[in-house]
Amino acid sequence: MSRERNLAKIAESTFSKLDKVHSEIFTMTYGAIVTTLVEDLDNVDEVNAQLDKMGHNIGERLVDELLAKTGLNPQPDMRYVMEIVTRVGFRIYLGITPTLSNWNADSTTVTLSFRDSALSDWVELPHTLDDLSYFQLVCGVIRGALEMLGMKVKCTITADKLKGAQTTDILVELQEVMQAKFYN
Amino acid sequence: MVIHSLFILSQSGNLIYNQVFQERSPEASKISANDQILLASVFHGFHTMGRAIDGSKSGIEKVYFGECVLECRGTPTGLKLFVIADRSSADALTKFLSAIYELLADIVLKNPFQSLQQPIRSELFTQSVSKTALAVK
Repeated sequence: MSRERNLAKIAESTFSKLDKVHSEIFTMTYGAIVTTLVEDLDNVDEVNAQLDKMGHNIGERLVDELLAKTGLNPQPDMRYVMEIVTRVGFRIYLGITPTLSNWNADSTTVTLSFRDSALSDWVELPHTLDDLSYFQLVCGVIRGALEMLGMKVKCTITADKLKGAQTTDILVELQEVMQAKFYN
Repeated sequence: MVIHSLFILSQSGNLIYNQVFQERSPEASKISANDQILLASVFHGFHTMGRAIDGSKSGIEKVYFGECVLECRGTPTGLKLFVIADRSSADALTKFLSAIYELLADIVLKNPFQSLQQPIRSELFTQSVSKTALAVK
């Protein structure tokens, strides 16, 4: 419990130091990116893949900013790192704190649930885009950031608020801890 | 109270940034660019060995030699930042490296045209590093 409170405190003090942007500029920019991809690419799977790739590139870069500004120095420990992702990462970059639930016994899979997020305010998916994962970029960000910490994860959207669910859920599964990478 | 030089190594041990603070450190600026790459590689090797022997994640943190001190900061993402300075500045180096890491995250990593493994050539970064180094007391 105290670890969680400590992370929340770090998040608040970092959040107060960072420059802010009006959330609607952000929502509209993200909307423009998604709709441009939908127009430019042939099918929705391709759009999802591109969003994931863009997210990955963002995550790879953001992780260092988070570590530099918070002074956190995590080992590749899934429970601790996921707490940092939710309590610090999402808090300082999107202003939200998703909840973590459904940890499996050996702490390798967990579900992140989002009640609301600036990303998808005002969005209504047309029926022609039923297969679009509007949130896919966020999956990529998590994947990219954790990869830099030596953890290979798979992120899947298991429930989507835009498709009628109560929350948007991302299932994060740890596939491999890449120790060797740092020693070779 | 002088900071002589700063090195940044990528995850794979390549020297991606190196700056000698010439006007304050004429001796250090006599070392050729090639030798600096060599020095950085040697340090990378020792650092990796240190971690393997010790089993810890941090590796070499400080080296004292003569009038100087080397301090290294490894990041969880595998970057290594290290600085060589006069012993009289030793206490300020941890803070200095934190400041450099923040500059790196802000100025370099947020540039979409900068690839993560490539050498850093950013005028703004160089200027900001110089400013930070000059401010060290």
